[in-house]
Amino acid sequence: MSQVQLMNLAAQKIEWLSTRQEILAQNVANVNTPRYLAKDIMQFEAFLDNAGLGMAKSNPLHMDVSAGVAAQPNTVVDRQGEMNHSGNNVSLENELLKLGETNSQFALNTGLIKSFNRMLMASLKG
Amino acid sequence: MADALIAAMKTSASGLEAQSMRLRIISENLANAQSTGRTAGSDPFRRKTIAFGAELDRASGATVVQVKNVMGDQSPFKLEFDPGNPAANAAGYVKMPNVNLISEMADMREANRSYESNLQVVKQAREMISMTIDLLRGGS
Repeated sequence: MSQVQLMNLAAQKIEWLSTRQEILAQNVANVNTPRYLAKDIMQFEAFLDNAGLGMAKSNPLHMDVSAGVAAQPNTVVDRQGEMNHSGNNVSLENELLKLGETNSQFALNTGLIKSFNRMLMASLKG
Repeated sequence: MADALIAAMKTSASGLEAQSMRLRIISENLANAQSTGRTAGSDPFRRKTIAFGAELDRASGATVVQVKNVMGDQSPFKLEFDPGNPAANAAGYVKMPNVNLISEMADMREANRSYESNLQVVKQAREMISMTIDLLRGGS
């Protein structure tokens, strides 16, 4: 179980998704703020490369390549989209679409954790 | 993890507050669309405008939205000929408020839509938190 690090990966995905939710909430709240530019989060793959899952070691003499510290997902400013007269480029439809996507991915992720857990419990109970 | 979701809810709450403040200003404008001055030649009610700004909430680290200021609209007043009115000037003209009902209505619809979107974000964040809590229940 520890080699595949399923739980670790799932936890990182959850962290990424909740940070994304926070950023999307900021965009929606500032939909009428002048000179506000829409933000989004970096891709999950890029976040994972930064955070690093670490390599399993079969011998203590092996080189330590685990990144260890959990990186904070970075935000990127979205310069696409139509710019308003007030210098705001938040598109409400786009943001709500992303929110729905985040929510369904979150549901998938918690479902996966639940099933990992069930598998773990099944093997413990025999 | 939950911190980010709670920060998301906090941000949306600030959006809800800002939009309801906007609706309050709109209702003030609409209610006073016919409010003239009291003495001869005096200025009537001046239309109010509201400005938002993104601000960092240092306690939670979330970028929230705040009402920056409420200002008076500097566009000119409409003049109406009504010599019997106590607010009429020497020529018989009364200054009427610079409130445009159509643009207030459009503004109201926009405030309504923004409020709805913020509410949707709160709902989704709450759903995500309860999904996480559900992990404890279904784990056995």
